[in-house]
Amino acid sequence: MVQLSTSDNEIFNVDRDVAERSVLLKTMLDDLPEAEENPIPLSNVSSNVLKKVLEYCAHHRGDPAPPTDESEESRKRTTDIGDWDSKFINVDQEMLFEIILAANYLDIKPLLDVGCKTVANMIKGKTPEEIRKLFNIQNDFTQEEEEQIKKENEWAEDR
Amino acid sequence: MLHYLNKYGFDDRKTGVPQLPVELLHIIFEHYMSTVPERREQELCTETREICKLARVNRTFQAFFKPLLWKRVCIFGAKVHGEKITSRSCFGSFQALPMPQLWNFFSTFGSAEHKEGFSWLGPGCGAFYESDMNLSKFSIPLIDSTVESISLQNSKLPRDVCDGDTLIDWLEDDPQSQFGFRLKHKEQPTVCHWFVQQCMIGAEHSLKEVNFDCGLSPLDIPALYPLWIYFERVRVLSCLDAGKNRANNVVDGIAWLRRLLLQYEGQRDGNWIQELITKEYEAFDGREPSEPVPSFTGLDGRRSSLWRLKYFLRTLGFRFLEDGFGLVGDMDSNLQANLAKVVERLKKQTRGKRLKKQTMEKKIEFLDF
Repeated sequence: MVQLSTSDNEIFNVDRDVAERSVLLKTMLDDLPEAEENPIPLSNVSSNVLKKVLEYCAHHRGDPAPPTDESEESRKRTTDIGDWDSKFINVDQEMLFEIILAANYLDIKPLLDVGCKTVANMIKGKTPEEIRKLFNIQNDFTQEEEEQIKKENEWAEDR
Repeated sequence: MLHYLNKYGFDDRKTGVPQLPVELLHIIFEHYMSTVPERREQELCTETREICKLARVNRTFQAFFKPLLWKRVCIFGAKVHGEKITSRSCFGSFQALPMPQLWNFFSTFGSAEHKEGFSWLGPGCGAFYESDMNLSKFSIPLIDSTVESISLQNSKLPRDVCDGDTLIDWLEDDPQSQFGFRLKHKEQPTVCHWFVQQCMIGAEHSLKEVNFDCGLSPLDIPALYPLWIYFERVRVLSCLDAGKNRANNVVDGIAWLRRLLLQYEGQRDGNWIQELITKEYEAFDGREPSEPVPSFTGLDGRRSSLWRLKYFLRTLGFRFLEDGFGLVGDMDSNLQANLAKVVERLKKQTRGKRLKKQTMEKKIEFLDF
């Protein structure tokens, strides 16, 4: 068993093979023997997010290890998501983004891809303003720039 | 804490939705782009519309998507034969837009000023145009910041861009318009597209001065070889027009050159590339006539004849002189430097990996040299 300590100081006891779905944790456990005896602090992950992440890891504990390289073959860009993953990732937007950040931090590429694919699906059919809301981002163009961009893109608008 | 926008600007409600870092946004974008339909022979393809839309979100989105747009519209333009869109450039594997849309793009996005007599009846048809084009006003990535001047030898356009002895007038009287030109030709959009394509390629190689020798196709411009090698590496090899014999020489030559450079185990100092190429060629050329016809392995694993290699090397600046094989003038220092960069990049990318090409190069594997 491995102990994981979250940002809100909750301790999770996890089977090692489940924890090792995270490349970060696997590396730590391989390289630092004492990591197995003391709780591993995950200061960037809260307990409710880690709970979800561990649910994913437990379900996929028997999956083959993900490729370690970034080659295109290993991480085919699509928005297809499996049935279980689809249900798993059906969470509110805040949790979805937190899962993505946690998957990135813990280096769990399959989960990161599931999250990113879900967000990619959410982009479809949205206007730029809706996308700003989705990503919680500011429109950082000046008014003049926005006018210019609008003009530049007029040719591609539906007529 | 971050906030949602409302119609009055930012409101003060805390949403708790975290912002994603740019690298994660890029992963999302890549997933997204992989699902957008490509190469639709419609009036305007879905992909291009999507790119335009997403480029309007904010600067981060624009930085990712606008170059994609340019690559599709400008570098990878097309011309129309009948109702079919066929690539006119050597980048056939990319998004193609029919010329009328391209023309719309230029007339809206650019600074084309239509003067009298303008009419558009489709590619290869219609009237002659008398328009001033200023590429510097197109906001083409890299051109604004990198290329300082462009010129055209003898002011004549290459025959594969437009037929006949069409001349181009540079608008040199306007210091703000160093990329401005005037052209009377029925295929002006094609020409504009060609210029942008060439400028982008030049800019990608940090060439401040882009000089077009119209006797050469883009595939034959030595300074661009690193680009072709790079394209091959990133699996857009089909962008090279392998349907033409001349291009096949080049494609095979690139494969040969790449292997040669990557397999070299000696010191990479000074003119090592030049010396290596010369030595390798001489090894080919020095064989006795009774030996089998010298050949080198081409891209698809087939053996190619020596004349193909000769042709390829000629495009790199080598010539067959009376006293033997050698360089005429100097091998472009940019070429030398760029090739060295490409080698380093390839080594880095292939380190510890064993990548198999999936396209035309099934029999050749990248190894960690």
